[in-house]
Amino acid sequence: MTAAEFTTPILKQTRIAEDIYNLTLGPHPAMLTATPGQFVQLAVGPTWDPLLRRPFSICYVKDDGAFNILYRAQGKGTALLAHLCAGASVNVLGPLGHGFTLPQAPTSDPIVLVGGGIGTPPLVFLAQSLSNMGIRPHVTLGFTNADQVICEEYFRACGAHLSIATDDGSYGYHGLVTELLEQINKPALIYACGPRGMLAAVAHFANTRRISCQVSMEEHMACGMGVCLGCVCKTKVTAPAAPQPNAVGGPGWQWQRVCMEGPVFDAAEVIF
Amino acid sequence: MSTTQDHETNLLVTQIAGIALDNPVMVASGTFGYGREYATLMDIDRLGAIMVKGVSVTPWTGNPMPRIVETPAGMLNAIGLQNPGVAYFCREALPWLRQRKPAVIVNVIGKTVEEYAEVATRLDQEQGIAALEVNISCPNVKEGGIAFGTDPVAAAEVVAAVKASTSLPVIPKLSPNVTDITAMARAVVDAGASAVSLVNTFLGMAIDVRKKRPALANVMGGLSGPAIRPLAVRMVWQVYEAVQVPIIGMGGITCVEDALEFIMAGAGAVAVGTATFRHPTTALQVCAGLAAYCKAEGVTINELVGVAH
Ligand SMILES: Cc1cc2nc3c(=O)[nH]c(=O)nc-3n(C[C@H](O)[C@H](O)[C@H](O)COP(=O)(O)OP(=O)(O)OC[C@H]3O[C@@H](n4cnc5c(N)ncnc54)[C@H](O)[C@@H]3O)c2cc1C
Ligand SMILES: Cc1cc2nc3c(=O)[nH]c(=O)nc-3n(C[C@H](O)[C@H](O)[C@H](O)COP(=O)(O)O)c2cc1C
Ligand code: FES
Repeated sequence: MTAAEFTTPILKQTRIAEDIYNLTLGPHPAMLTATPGQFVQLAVGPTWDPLLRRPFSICYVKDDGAFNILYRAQGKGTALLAHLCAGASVNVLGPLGHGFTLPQAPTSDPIVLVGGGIGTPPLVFLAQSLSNMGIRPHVTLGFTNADQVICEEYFRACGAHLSIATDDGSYGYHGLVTELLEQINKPALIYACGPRGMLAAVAHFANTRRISCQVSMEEHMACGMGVCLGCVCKTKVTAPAAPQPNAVGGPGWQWQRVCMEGPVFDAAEVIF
Repeated sequence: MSTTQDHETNLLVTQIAGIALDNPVMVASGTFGYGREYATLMDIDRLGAIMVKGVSVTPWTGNPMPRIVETPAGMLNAIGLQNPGVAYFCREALPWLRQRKPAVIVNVIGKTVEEYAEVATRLDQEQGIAALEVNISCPNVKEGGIAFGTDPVAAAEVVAAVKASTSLPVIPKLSPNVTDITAMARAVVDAGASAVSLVNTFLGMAIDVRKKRPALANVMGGLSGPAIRPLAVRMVWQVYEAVQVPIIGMGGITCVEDALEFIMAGAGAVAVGTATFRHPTTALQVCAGLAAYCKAEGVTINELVGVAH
């Protein structure tokens, strides 16, 4: 779980959907310690402008420590990243953060992974780890339309029960991913990553039914190492859970750092 | 036994406000936590000093989110000095820090003169602290929230109160959000400052044009990073000509050349802040670069301080 700063070559970069890229970065031993839900901070571009690293979830890690991230080119930094070709090098800080907590033992109770759009990639790593434990998760994904659907092949490869929803019905179920979640019979554990609104809906679904649920949060980050306090998220302090020793907050709530205590939090804990 | 490396690093040995430093490279307050977070990534014992995150009497919750936004070659932050308070610092952070080699400089914050003095009093009971850096950029609650750091009288009052509460050297950290930085420097030196550190962040703001709202929840924030370097170098230059005490220079340092600019403008030591977020080992690289530079030029670091004047 110890992070490293390293420079590594791009082994491959492919455009897999409109504005969405699959980036394979060269191996580093630190990446072999990565767990699902953890992320890396990439220094995009060789200069101090853009200044800050960009956080991306680890999509999967190969046996040699090479790893992939899937990202949407949307602003200054990701546009620069999208222009890089195989052979160019990228500086990486990672693996970072606290990822998903896996079940203690194989279980036959339904485990559901809920992904929304570009929040899907870390669920690939998670599905692979569950599959290695002998668990076949239910994976429900939501996208705006058929052109935006990503990662389908990875989930099929690890034997997941897969269902996909699109906002416009151009692929799979016509509607919201949370509607797919409601169709699953008695989920025992839910993992979710996606836009904040989706996470709030999934958390509400799980909390009202007392289903154990973990959500991966997103905030703008500077350091990614827990020092700048730029990435904090409001969480409940519920007895008997003790407050984080270094955390501060108000009555009944405390800040936690998305880059350190997160990005994955217990859904019952997050104040949306 | 004296190796070439020892000789090179000896060129960097210096003193600021009576604190002996192995080298003049520090990490700036608020950009290195309490030191522990980065210790897994690098050999922090090679730093000259660690300036820890601002410490207040009671825990401060800081500002609402969003707290940071990237700007050209810089960033704005409005963290609001979130920190778990002096008791936590002494109990949880200091025992680890004092075992490390770098000098520990504690950044002190408060909303009233009394609060600053109280933190200083509490810290005075502790071993292993080299100096107090007094962050006068805090809002003065009694004066309607205007920063202590923009009023020479209020700044001097804070410095004098801290000075009276501690046996440690007192290093006020100047805010650059003033018309005449030399007036502030003179005021705090007259009040007993052993050194000054500058600069803190520049007040700025950004608008999120998609949301048609300020990008930061706090509306305004402090600008840091390479974007502010020429402004910071200018202020170090001016303060060097105005007062006799040593200067710890900072603002956008990313490499040895940047650090040399500050040193030649008059800084006896430098601190790396925002650059650490991008490359955690920046301060160590600056340090190695200074050693190589001094060796190549056949000078000690002290001989370079203010040479551009
Ligand atoms: C833990 C974590 C994991 C993530 N995983 C992925 C992923 O797997 N794939 C993916 O496409 N995106 C992911 N993101 C979002 C990704 O970090 C942003 O899309 C990216 O930073 C945008 O950079 P930009 O230069 O294109 O945008 P700009 O708007 O130019 O960025 C300006 C600043 O805002 C920050 N920023 C902008 N949007 C976001 C955002 N949504 N989240 C956090 N910071 C943002 C940037 O990092 C930068 O500091 C993740 C974010 C977090 C926090
Ligand atoms: C996220 C962040 C937090 C900071 N917190 C503090 C603080 O607690 N006390 C303080 O005196 N300065 C604080 N600063 C200011 C820095 O110590 C430094 O003076 C300033 O950022 C300029 O240097 P730089 O451009 O190298 O970052 C903070 C800066 C940043 C970016
Ligand atoms: S990004 Fe700096 S504390 Fe999380």
